[in-house]
Amino acid sequence: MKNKEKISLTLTHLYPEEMNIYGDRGNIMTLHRRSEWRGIELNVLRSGLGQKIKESDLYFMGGGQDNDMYAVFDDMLKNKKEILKREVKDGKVFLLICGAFQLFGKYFLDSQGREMEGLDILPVETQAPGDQLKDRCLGNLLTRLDPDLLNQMGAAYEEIVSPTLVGFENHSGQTYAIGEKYETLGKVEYGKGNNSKQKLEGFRFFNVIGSYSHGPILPKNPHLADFLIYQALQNKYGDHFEWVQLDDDIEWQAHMVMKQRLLS
Amino acid sequence: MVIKTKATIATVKAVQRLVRFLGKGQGTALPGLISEKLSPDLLQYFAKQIPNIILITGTNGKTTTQNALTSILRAHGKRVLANSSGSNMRRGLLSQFISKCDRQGLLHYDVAVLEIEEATLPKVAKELSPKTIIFTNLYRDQLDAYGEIDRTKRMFRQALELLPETTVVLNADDPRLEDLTKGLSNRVVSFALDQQYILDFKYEGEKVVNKPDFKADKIKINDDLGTKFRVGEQEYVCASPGIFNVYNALAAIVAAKLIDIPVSDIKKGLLLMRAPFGRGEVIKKNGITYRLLLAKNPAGLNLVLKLLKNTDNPNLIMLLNDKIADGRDVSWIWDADFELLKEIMPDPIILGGSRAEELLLRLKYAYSDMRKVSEQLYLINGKVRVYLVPDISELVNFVEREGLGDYYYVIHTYTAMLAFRKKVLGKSLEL
Repeated sequence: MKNKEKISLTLTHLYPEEMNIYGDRGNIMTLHRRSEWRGIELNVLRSGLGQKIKESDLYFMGGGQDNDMYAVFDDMLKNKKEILKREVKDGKVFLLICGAFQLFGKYFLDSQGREMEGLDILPVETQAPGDQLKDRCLGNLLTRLDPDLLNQMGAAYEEIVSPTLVGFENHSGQTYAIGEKYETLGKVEYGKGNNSKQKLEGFRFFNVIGSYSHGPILPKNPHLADFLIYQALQNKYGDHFEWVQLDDDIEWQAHMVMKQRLLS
Repeated sequence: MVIKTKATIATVKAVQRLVRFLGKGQGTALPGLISEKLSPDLLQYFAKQIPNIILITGTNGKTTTQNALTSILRAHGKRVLANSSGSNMRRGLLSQFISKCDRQGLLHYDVAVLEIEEATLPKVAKELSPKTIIFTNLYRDQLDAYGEIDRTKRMFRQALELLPETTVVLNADDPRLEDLTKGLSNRVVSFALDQQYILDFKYEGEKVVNKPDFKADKIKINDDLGTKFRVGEQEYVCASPGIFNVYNALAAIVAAKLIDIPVSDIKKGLLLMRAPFGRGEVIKKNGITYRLLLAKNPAGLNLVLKLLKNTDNPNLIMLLNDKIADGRDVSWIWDADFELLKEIMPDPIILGGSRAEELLLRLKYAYSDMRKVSEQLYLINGKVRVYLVPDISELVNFVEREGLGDYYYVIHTYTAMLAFRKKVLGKSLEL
């Protein structure tokens, strides 16, 4: 009989010290626990300023303070841009929240509201809000999942209780896709999302998900969390891995309370 | 000018009475708004009547520091004007001045000890011209209100640039504050705790080793959660629980020393100080005692959890609301170390508030093993009972009815505390 190999994944947490506001650490916790509950070993590597990246199955990066963003961006250009670009093209799974989402685009906004050149890995650009729009996009966020994405998630998650994502957004930058063809996470039903015009939230490119949802996004959206883990496993093991469904009563309860409140 | 000022004061006093009569709350914002419109110079008019104004700002500890300092100054026989924490923005301040002045518009106080909301500081700095400003700390709090914390620091500096004569009392353990006055001419008096205690405080930024002007050490938490500590040759006891309250007491001691209050009165004041509402306050009803512990950001919650390590299998109530005064974004609970609960071992844990379901989820990920037994009951590791009762009023009924314990620690956000207190004591909070 063949010895069963322990299934494992590596996750690189980019700039855990600098890009760590708004509870985004909860996303790592969620990926960690949901892997652990399935007997999958998730090794979390941290890659901060001046540190190299090892190739990984998953990448996570959160939002940060304005003044930290400069140092982070500088460091990304010097130490990480090439490998990250390659990893994206190789179909590795990325979750980029808020500031990270912006930095990966062609342009991002600095603290003075200037548009700066970004990493140019994602075909998106972030602009300063116009005059009529001084306020930040700030508040609870409810997104109806894009049908195509929902369909893809179905492979990883059998009973999606609600085809929605709940989160909390807090950004002034207005993010748009470059070009005509692009894929998002879905339509915004409550809140703003990428920008205050299109009612669209997030962006998908290869296996990268960029999003403005804090909250953090993964604990209350277990279907998205499982989708990320499932994709990473598929990348690494093809179809040769065991995959069980978890009991997510408590997760969906927290999701539905917010959904119902926002729609009422 | 004087006639107009007096007319404004009379109008606003009438409005305040009316608002109270109609039962529309404390009536602090509306009268402030009216007086801002009628007499834009009113704040300065009042401030000039008070010989010494001391401001307190920062993320955590404003109210407790204010309480400590007020208690000390009163122990020394000073007439002290203190605002309530609900009135720490410009309009609220105006309303407080108006309700405390006489019909001639005159204030009869020796000192004002005012807590000021962080973003309000630059807006009132020049008008108030304080002799002293105390900066407690600068954590991530209410990010949804101001965007980012660096902005808060910039606002602090903007205020100080207008006030070169003002003495700055600051927490030198906080790297974000440590260089607050860099390049400015203000006199700085710093305070800090002995190194061994500061690991628990997750300050942000590189620690700069410096020599504080005042340092507290030999901190000991008594069984009643009161706190003993030493500053130089003197030993103080402060009624508020926890090491973090040593910072607040120490800030008050420093500010008191700056105006030559004798040590005996400082000690007396600290002993006599009452824990402010919800900050270690004890309330009792129907044979049940509640110790209220406010936590509104990760740093604050971590400290409260560390404090609970001094207890033995406590009964715990956690209340999380997401109204504006609590912070609408509850993401921060994922930055707090709920994992500490595994060492504290509370049982039962009762969860309430508008985001109680989010707390439940946070506990699931902290403990890893949580099972749903019924809509209301969840079990951690098959044994620790977690009850979900989101409505705070129902939660209090539940606690009284079920008889699960007679002493509870209650960790809560701001408006959750108001609701809880009102239900338990049967009356609204008089600020």
